[in-house]
Amino acid sequence: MNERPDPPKLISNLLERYCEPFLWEGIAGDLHEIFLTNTRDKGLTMARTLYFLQAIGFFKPKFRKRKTRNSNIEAMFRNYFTITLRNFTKHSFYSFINIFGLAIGMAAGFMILQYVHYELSYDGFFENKENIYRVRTNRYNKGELTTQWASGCAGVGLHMKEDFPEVVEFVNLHRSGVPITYDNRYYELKSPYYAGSSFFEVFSIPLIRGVDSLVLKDPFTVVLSESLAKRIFGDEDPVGKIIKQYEFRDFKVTGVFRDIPEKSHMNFDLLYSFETYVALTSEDARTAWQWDGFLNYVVLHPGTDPDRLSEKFPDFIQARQGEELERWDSGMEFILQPLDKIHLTSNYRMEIKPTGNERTTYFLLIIGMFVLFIAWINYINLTTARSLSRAREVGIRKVMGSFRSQLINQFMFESFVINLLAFAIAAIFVVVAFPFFNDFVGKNVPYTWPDAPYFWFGLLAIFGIGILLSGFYPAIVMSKFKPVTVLRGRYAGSSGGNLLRKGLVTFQFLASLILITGTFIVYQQMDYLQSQDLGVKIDQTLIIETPNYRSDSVLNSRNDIFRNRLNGESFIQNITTSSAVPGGTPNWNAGGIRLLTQTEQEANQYRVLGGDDQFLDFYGLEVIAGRKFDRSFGAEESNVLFNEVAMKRIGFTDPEELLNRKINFWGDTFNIIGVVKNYRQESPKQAYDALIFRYFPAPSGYYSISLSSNNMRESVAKIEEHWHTAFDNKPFDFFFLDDHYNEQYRSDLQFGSIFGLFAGLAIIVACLGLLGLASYMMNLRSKEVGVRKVLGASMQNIWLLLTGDFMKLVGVSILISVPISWWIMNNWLENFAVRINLGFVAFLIPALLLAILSIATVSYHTIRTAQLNPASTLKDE
Amino acid sequence: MKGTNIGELEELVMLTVAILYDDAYGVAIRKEIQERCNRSITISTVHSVLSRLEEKGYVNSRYDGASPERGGRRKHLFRLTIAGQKVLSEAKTMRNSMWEAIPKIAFASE
Repeated sequence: MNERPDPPKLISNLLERYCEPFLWEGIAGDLHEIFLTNTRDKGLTMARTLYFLQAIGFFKPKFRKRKTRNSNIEAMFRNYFTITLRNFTKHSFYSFINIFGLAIGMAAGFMILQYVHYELSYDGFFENKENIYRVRTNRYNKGELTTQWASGCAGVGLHMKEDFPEVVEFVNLHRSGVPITYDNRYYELKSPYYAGSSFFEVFSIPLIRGVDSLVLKDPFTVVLSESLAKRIFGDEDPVGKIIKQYEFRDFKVTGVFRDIPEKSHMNFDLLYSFETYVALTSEDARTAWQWDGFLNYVVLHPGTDPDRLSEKFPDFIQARQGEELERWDSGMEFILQPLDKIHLTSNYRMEIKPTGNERTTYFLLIIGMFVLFIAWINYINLTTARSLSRAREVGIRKVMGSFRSQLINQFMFESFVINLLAFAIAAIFVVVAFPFFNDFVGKNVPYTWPDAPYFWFGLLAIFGIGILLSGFYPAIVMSKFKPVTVLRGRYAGSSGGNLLRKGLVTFQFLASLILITGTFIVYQQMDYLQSQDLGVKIDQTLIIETPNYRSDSVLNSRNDIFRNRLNGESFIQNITTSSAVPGGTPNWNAGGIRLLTQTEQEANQYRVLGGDDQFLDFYGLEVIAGRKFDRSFGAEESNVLFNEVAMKRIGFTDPEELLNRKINFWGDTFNIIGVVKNYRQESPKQAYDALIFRYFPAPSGYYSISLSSNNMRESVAKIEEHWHTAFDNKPFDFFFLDDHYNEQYRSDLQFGSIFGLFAGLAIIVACLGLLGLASYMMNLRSKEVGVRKVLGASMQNIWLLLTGDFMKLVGVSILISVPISWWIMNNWLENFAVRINLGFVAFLIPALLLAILSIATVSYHTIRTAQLNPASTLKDE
Repeated sequence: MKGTNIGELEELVMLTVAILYDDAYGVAIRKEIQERCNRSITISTVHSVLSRLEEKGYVNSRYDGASPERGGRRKHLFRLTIAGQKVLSEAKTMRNSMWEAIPKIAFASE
């Protein structure tokens, strides 16, 4: 018992400083006594905690030191606060502009920060995410990059685990395109995949039912997401139930997993065991290196440097596949993608769901910061410009004995109060505007306070930097006034200050102008894209996915029924079936195609599109040489058509030359019967692709139906009726082709509208600032104007003189903005295969717009000043 | 009447101060209230009630009796003043008279 533990030092020291010394001895003694009792009864840690909590209880005014030195400081701050408030009310117009502008800037900054944070935090919830990578593949042909896959071959994961000690586990995934039924009802799936048995061990997606190492172990087992299970089985227990692919292939439900959060690059709602895929195909499916249709994820040993591992990939590929690749003069390359970077950095073929765009995200961040900077600059400008009106106050304060540092404190404090107010208003803006902002960016960013420390740090930084940046310069300027001068009534702004102010205004205009020009060019480009001649007819066309049947003969007979019934409808103009429709890359990507006369090394890769003999006519595609498919010729199955790009790729420039050449297509021989003119299969954003057309008489993916009626709803209902007669209860999945096609512009249009939104905000803020500044400047020059008028200057002269000063700044900012905008927007336009040329007009119109807006803003005050009666301005001195 | 009113907690603390007579300080008062009324109050509450009572002049205080348990600090001891005693007994008398004024019938049903 000799050793007595001590109570927590920090808190007791703090309390001692705070407490009235007379009371302190009693309080400290009591706390100590309780602490010792607690140590005995409840242990030291508990006693310390309790001591802390009890000590906190004494921080009440009741126990506070009376008459401390601090009271002076308190009074001082109270005084600052009063002065700040008086200034607000006295110059309510400026204060409003100041606070409102700042609030808009902060709100913009906050929203952007939230958005960027949302985009950056994708897949952050996965445990062990720092060691999980996706292996994606690049394919080369004759040394040229042909296709960038998010996926790769089936055997990659397994072989990496075999060959590299650094790889401890792998999962492969393969998309399943087929629908499921339960109890003879079809259920639409969002994202069904075959998944390797280690899936739930690698990815920390919690299983509600089932054991993570067992659920995907056996063939013909399936795991459902919580919401899908609820949709199919309601409240029944799904485990052990049998669901079917189509209506015949049985799967046993072995588990249920919690829905994958929206903030993930994955969105699976159903996972079959990969063993099923092996059972359905062959054992080779585990080790195949032929087809890039599998997503491969590997788990690396903790501490493995992914770059070092990647260096070993070329040898790995050489050892496993070198001979085969050389034979075709092709190459491949593996790239490791960190799990939590996939969303923003990846946009390749076979992604699980559409990914984000890193460039757009950071671009937005920069735009948001622009708006914020403009708002801060406003504050600096308005405050320093108005500083002259505070000169007398500063003079008096100095005479009364204020140090300069105290004056700086005072003005910093004012900046703090204004920033705080603006912050509060900004918070309201954000809450109100957030749903609209979500619509703009097309995201469902949940309105929650993010938990990431850097988000709060960022917010605090915006606030802190705002106070310093906007408060410091004005504080320095205002505290500099010499009492002798200012109290005598002679105060003039320094020329240095004027120059800085002009510089800041120019910067504001510059930033707004770049944003306006950007918006303008984005919209021009979108307009241009949409007005392109696509070379393909896409309007009034309904697309339906063809149903799946176990046997082709059933499908064919049902198909005949369906088409016969449709042919009887007057509102239907034409029907065709094809493996792909315009508005996307054809799914079939075939390498190794060559002329019979060429060697294997000369083979190339093409996209293949199959359709019936109506396909080319239906879509209005033009054949520039040879003929179209026609079933009356017979044996069309061994004929193909090329498009112009494909023709060049195989080595011809004259279409007539290509006719009747024979090609080798995966071991079969095909005869080229025609050449199709290039058309926009994907969108004008992409360059033309090399396409080969094949003849598929049976439905192979999509029905395209062109409608003549204007009553779309009725037509669709009629078609659905026929559909269900012909195909029983098979799902009727349809869309309109022009919507589908235009979907490809959506992200660009969003980009444009976001650009526009922030450009608008920037202009509002900048104009507010200009309004305030102009109003103040005019006040200062009212006497000069009076003198000029007395001496005979006309209204126009004076207006020109006053407005011209501001217009010079606008002119300078226009001059500087042109090269910057040109550079930025030219960069952006590089993304497009078809693009506008940046002409004079693209810069002239935004510049004019800004000039008109600023003239209007300034003129409001300049005209008023010019109209003043000189007698009233000159009378007092 | 105004100014001589005391709160319930104040009354409790004053009674405890009276009970403890010469050893009425923070911890002891808190312990006593806990044992007698089965009511747990924080030490800071005890102190703030005591200092309020001292301001009103119902208790006075002195420092005495340092011990190692208290880290060598003295106890802040309280004792009722005459005014305090008066206020307490007034409160008691008032309550008694109110009790007596309750008609028997009001509690009869119990």
